Amino acid sequence: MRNNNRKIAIVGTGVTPFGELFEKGYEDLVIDAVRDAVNDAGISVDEVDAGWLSTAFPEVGVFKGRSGMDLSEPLSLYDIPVTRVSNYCASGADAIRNGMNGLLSGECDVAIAVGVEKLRDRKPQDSIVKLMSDYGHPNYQKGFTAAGTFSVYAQRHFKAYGVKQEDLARVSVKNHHHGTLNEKAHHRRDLSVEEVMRSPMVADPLTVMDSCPTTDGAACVVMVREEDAGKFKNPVKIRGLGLSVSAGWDMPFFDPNYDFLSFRATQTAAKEAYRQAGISDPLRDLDLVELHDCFSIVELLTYEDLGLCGKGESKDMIRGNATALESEMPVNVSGGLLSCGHPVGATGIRMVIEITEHLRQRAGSRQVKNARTGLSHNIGGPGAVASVTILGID
Amino acid sequence: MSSILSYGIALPRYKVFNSILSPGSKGSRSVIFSDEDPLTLAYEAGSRCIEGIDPDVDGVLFATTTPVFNHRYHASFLADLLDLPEGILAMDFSATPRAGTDALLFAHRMIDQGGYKNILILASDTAFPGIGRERSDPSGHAGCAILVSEKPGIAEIRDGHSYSHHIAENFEYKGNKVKLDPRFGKNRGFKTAIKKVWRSSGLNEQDPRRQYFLINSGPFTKDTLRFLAKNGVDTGKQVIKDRVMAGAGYTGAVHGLLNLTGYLDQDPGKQDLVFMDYVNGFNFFKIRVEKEAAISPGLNEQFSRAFPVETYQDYLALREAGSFDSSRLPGRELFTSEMMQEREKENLLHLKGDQCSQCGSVYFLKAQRCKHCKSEEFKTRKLSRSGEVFSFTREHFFPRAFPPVTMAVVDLDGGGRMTLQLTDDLYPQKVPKDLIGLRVNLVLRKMVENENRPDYFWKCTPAGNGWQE
Repeated sequence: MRNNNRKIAIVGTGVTPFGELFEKGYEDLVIDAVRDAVNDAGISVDEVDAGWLSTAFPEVGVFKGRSGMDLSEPLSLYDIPVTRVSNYCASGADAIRNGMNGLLSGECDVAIAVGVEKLRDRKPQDSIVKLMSDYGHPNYQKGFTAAGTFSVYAQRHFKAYGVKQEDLARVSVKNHHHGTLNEKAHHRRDLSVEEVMRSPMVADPLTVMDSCPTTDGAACVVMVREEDAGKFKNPVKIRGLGLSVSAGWDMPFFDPNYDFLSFRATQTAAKEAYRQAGISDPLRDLDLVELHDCFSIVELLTYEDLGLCGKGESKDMIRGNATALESEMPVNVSGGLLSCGHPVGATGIRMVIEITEHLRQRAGSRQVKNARTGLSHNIGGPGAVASVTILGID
Repeated sequence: MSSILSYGIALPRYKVFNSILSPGSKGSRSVIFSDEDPLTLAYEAGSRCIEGIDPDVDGVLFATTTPVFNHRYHASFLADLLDLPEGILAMDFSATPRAGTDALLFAHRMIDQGGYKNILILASDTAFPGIGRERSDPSGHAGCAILVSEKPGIAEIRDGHSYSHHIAENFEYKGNKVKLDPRFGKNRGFKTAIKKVWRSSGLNEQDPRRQYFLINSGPFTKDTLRFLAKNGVDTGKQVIKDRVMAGAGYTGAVHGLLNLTGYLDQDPGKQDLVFMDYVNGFNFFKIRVEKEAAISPGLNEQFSRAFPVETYQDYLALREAGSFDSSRLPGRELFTSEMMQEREKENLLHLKGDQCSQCGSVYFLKAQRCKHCKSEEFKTRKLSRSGEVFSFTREHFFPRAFPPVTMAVVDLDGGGRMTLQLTDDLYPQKVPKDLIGLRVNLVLRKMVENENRPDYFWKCTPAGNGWQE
């Protein structure tokens, strides 16, 4: 029987600003995020006895983060186990999962999960696009960028459910509005539906403003077992974490049975996380959701995959403004990836921290009132890996 | 004796009207897209030639004046692409535009003398004229394949000879185009050779009015006609017109073979044909056309569905993208691997997929356990080269000579799904906005080029007339 109640608490958080951080190197980001997190927890760095470092794409960044060493070295945090975690865009969430398992196994008592990505030292074309154009299999998917792999889903959604390009734009408008309330977001500016649709096309039907930017940033959480959490202020419990690999990197585009209408990885990860957390009606039981809006279409798909609405109903949710900050189910009140940006390895941890801060009632002007339970979701690769984490307070 | 068992014709999808290259000129010439080269044209012609026949090919001969490799046999490379067995005869014929009929002659002789059963001749040419020399150099691009067999077929090759002459009238030396020293009669080599052909082939003793003449003698066409007329041939009725020149231009090593197959494609009926090809000496064949032979897509069909290049600027862009690194990424080493392609060629190049024995799902990507029903039993299955677009996108930021890159998820007829680049889309504004449901064919094209090797893979192109009105 799988562990029904992973008794782990987050007791400290640290997030750097997300953006073009030209003045900060990879090591600076590590130090900033970890210092803030241990200070928040009220411990010294030397009390940490295991670490997990999440950097998804060292080879298109600054070639740092290929091993856990790049966490230890800047902090002089030696003589403890540190492991690098990489699982596409779900890397950050997977670092948390590994930290949890380290704590539960008894290997360590205080664990940190740190996500760092430094992408803006290169041109955007050199970073994520290069992964697809220069590297990778010479034939499979040659011609796709990340945007294109999700556009294929958008085109099928248009066909199957009558979703319109305006609906995609509405996601971006909503999240950018939320982003204006987040002082650490990469882009803090309100947009109109017309502006999103008129911005340069990246991969039909996704425009630049339907796409998250490549960003520098880092985030860190300090975790302990729940029985040790009493020593800390404001612990937030991890009530459920599901991680699922339900497709390959190439397979979705070569699988004759695939409909491009949902991410099975999200569905299975959510099912597991809901089971652990005892959630039966997510719309009722959750107070806020941070989900992986790397491209606007993914937010719509994920409403359906998380069970926030029925199949084909995501367009009604966005048209009805049902996921804005003051609505019944606020989604991506941080501004999401669209506004915060996407330092890949850091994103999942940043999102878990966003939920944590709301549950601690200290999220400032974007605070979701009386938030007690929240969900964080990541999708990695073209629907290959998904992680769903559910956090709560008593 | 040998016979022509089948043939295939492959013209590029684009043509440029000669009036665009040189105002006042008539006709058009075919021009390769940025991802085509002699190997893709020859492959296309060859696969059309042997498709559905599954012949026991024991030799491949390749002819071109525009080789892609040095010190490497194109014939071997193409045999491998075409999934022909290792260890067969493979030879390249190059250097002159007579290479195509040299290959035909060689194949005929090899079969005639016994020991070989089916020899596949592949020819392709992609010469571009010098910039500003388009009027005097009508080079166009094409591929052609002929399967020469010991078995009876469309036409019987009853005789084949070659007549050399040491005088060459037009040739290249150190990159210069050389014309014969005017102290000699301009047509001295030609005249000597044609007389010799006429005598030693016994045509002088037969009634020439019983045959048709297909001549491929470039600048000596008029001289040939004059000679034939003098020797009793009704040149108005008996000489078959060059149908390739006006539509595709002068296609070099392909030209003679393309005119021959283009003629067979018209179903001329039972007749005797004298086929002559002159470049610095003659190749000469006597061919008896036995039966109807029209194929699809035939020469006319391919002429009519060609997309026109609209401006000289587009033509220059196309040619630059085609003759240099098509990735247009100077200094970037795109990953390719000879070893990977060798290991995966059954799948990548020969389009052999796996079909689940239990649920019938067909996978292009190698399957060990069925994604659908988890069965581990599969049958190998050749995938179809036609299908329908299930979903798509246009990538505006993927590096390419002619952005955007349209990516199409294609459901293949009879099962299997592939995600492929759309090609032949020089004018993206002409591609329909919604591609879902579009019928496409798979074509083998250059995918990635770097300094080590061209990497060939499948792309898709609209079936039939595509998006033309």
